[in-house]
Amino acid sequence: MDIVGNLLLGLGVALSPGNLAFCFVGALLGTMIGVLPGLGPVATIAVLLPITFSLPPEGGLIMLAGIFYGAQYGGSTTAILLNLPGEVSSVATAIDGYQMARQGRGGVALATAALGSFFAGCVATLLVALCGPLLIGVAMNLGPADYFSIMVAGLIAAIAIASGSVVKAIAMILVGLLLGSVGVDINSGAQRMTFGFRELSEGIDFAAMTMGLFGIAEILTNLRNPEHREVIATKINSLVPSRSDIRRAAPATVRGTIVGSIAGLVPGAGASLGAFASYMVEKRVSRRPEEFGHGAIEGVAGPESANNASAQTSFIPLLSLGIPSNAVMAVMVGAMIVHGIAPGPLLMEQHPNLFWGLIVSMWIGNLMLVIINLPLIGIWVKLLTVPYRLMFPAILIFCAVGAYGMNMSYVDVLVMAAFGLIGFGLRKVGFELAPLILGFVLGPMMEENLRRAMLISRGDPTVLLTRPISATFLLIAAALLLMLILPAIRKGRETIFAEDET
Amino acid sequence: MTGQPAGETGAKKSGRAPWQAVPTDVVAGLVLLLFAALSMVATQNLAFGSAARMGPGYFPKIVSGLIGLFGLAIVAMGLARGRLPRSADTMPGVPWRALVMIMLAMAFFAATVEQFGLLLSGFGTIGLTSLAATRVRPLEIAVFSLVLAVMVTAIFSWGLGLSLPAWPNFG
Repeated sequence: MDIVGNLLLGLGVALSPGNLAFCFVGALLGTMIGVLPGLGPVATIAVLLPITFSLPPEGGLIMLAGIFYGAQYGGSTTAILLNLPGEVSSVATAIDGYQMARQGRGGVALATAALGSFFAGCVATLLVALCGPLLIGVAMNLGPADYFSIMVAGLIAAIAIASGSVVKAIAMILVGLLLGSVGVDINSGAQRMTFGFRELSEGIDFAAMTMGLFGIAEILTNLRNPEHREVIATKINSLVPSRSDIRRAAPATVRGTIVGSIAGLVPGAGASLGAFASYMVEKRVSRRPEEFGHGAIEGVAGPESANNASAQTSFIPLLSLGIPSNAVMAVMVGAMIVHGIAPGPLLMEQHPNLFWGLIVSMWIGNLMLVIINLPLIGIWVKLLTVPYRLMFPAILIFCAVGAYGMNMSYVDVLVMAAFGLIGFGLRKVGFELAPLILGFVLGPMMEENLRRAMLISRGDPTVLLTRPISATFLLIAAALLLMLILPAIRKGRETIFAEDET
Repeated sequence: MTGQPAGETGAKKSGRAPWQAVPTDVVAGLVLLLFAALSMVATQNLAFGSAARMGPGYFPKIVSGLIGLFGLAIVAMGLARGRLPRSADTMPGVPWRALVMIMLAMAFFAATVEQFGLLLSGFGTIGLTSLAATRVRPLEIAVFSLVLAVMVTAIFSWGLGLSLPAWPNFG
């Protein structure tokens, strides 16, 4: 199989008029919801999930790719204009992006972010097409013990990036693992933790749960805080970067793309690692490090390119190993499973159309952002000024109808509401919800791989340490954990401030 | 480093419930212990099996045991820290009204959408959620709910072609 042939196959799928339209609608809706303050990319994708369920798998996933890009872009927009990064990966962007906006250069920052992302997306798409098949070859040789250890390392790496308490993040992963095991056990047929509800025997509905945890819980949290957002730069003066802007941003974009592409390959780390690493690289190589934090354009171009490159290349571990690297990817995996597609090494062989179609649509979704969304920036900025008292009922009814419409079942609406309540409560006492989603998605896979590994080794747990790949990943996990916990003990009190109440 | 925006602080301070003096981490740990206890009860009849032949209870029981351990650790952390009172360490207030209205709205939607149809049920749901806001403007809510209900019906029932009935059906 050659790359050109594969990409052409993908182009054929992605460029069919229907799929192109799905991608377009997805990117548009994703930006529209993603730009609403207080709704990060995870919440955006969660809220829009049900819409894709009525489509065929290819169309649904392609629309999801559009939504994904729209949501990411919406996240960068709020990071730049409101200093409200929707998730960790755009924290770095907010530092200098917001300062640029305050200086009246918000338009330039947004354009730089979009163009930098597009460049990174192009490079990373090629990389995925090149490396994906190679890694899939490797993945075929991995045993269940290896998978289990890679997932453990991935989960630990994911919380390494998150802010806040490490202990609480691990606790949330465990809760996610537990929730993931609700339903009929596939091996014995026993009902597990269904509390007698027949509706739970197929497990907790993923979409209803994510909508509750992210959509509804976020609204409840926001309602607690009175409106105190400050819309900076409601007027976007100019989108066009000056020549000196380009001269400074272009090399930063290239560096960001390289850094981000590598970071995306690390299972578990993903986009946020790329963005932070790139910000540090830019600050290091810059001849004007003092400008960072005061509106340096490199500080937007680098992390935004890195963020996007990582998002794209993190599809390599996702599609070849089936391991999501962050909450956004976990939601994507959940959505794929709902569509009846299990991401993993077999995906490319069994559904080549879908695999390559998805990869190419990621790129097209990116392109659409540049050609549709940049001219529409004015509208998105207007959306920021809609009062919250009108916005949250709209989001809530959208969630309710979406949850109901998935299976035409009122139970899903109640499940969503319940998780809204649970999510709100957990957030109130200082838990983050992203690790929970990761655990929920990985739980069944981890259990199955552990079961198989133990069956093969006849119950000998040392198999996890005697297989070289498995041992390597467990070592990495242990090292990461030590690195995380040691400073946490020393300055335990500071971590309290890391939990932001936005 | 002001925890709460000005204007809110005064009103909330005076009305603090006694349980709000409890360190957040203690509550957080107790929540985990509750989860662990619930899942222990729910999985008590599931076979544990052995490592080589994991029963349906093996994985959930181990995980809930771990959750319990983390719960204890977090309670201990909270108690150790609780000696140094600071607003960020203690329980924040709860927006009861928003909580109740939104849960009520979701329950209303779940209960009525099949018979009342999306237009009516949506109108009621939006109206109820709007009451969660701190200041209520009746006219605005009525008009807004109507417009939004029509929009949602147009998108989901007529546009996306989901088999969601728009009109009431008491058959």
